Amino acid sequence: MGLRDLVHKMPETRKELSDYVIKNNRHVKKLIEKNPDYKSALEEAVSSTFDKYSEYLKGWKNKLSGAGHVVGYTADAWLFATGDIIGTLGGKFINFLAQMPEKAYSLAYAVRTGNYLDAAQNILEGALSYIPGLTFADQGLTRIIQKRMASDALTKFEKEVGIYKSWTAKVADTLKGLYKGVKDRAKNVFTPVYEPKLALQRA
Amino acid sequence: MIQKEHLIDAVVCRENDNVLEVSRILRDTQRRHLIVLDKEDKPVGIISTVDLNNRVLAEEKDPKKLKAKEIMTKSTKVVSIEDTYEKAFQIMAELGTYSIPVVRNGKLLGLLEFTRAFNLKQVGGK
Repeated sequence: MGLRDLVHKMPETRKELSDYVIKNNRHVKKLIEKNPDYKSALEEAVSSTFDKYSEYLKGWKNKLSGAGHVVGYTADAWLFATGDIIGTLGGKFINFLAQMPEKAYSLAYAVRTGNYLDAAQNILEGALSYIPGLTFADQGLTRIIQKRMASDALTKFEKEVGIYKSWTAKVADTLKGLYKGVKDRAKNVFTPVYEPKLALQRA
Repeated sequence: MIQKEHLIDAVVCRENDNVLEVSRILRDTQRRHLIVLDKEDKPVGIISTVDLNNRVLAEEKDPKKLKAKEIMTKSTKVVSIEDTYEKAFQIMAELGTYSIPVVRNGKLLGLLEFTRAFNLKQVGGK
């Protein structure tokens, strides 16, 4: 659990993930209230998603990163309190070193799951957080994965109950009423299908 | 070799689609260009919003009667999935385009963006 979790707690267990998806998506809550059978569809989606990602939430790298953030926040507070930039940069450097294993691990996570944008986001946020006063910019890989879990579980659930909308359908929804003959153009889109080799081997 | 996971969605139309349909596909997907495919899913051309303006509107042609193949820019440059990011980057740099269609055995797989090709070229194509 990181410092950010004190403000906005992210899910760490299957139950928490399920509750998080319901709490943050009104349409899911309404569907389950109307038809309790959908609850089991959500549990299945949550379970398979959690199985896929939970191993990346554990380990010393994440804990070291969390500890580094505490040092980073302390350094930022020191800067605001004293204006001592040299001392602050010293603290930030310790934070920087503490983030290295987690940032490297994010690449392995990306290769195994195919979530390259998550790794890129994690590394960029880490670089940005080295600027004095900006430790908060780095939310850490754990939190990024927790958000990914929530988003993947929601997508799986929506596909399962038949309410999933592709980007083409969402664009069409926004344009309907504005123009004539607006359609979901999914048939006019070639989507590169990607199944990560390493993830398949693990399954 | 180009990895499939680095490609993005490609918006397409068929060469015999009429131009009204083409302009609506561009509108409904909020894109500025699309790839024209033949019956075998092979890219045969490209149409941009500028082409619609210059080759249809400005020429006072009827978009219902014109076909995509009549206004497309032919001989679209493509790269094979087996090519390198370096090659894709060089072609885009020469053409001044922001993306390039990627094919396997001539059939379209998706688009590779300029910035992604540049970044992956720098790290050795992995």
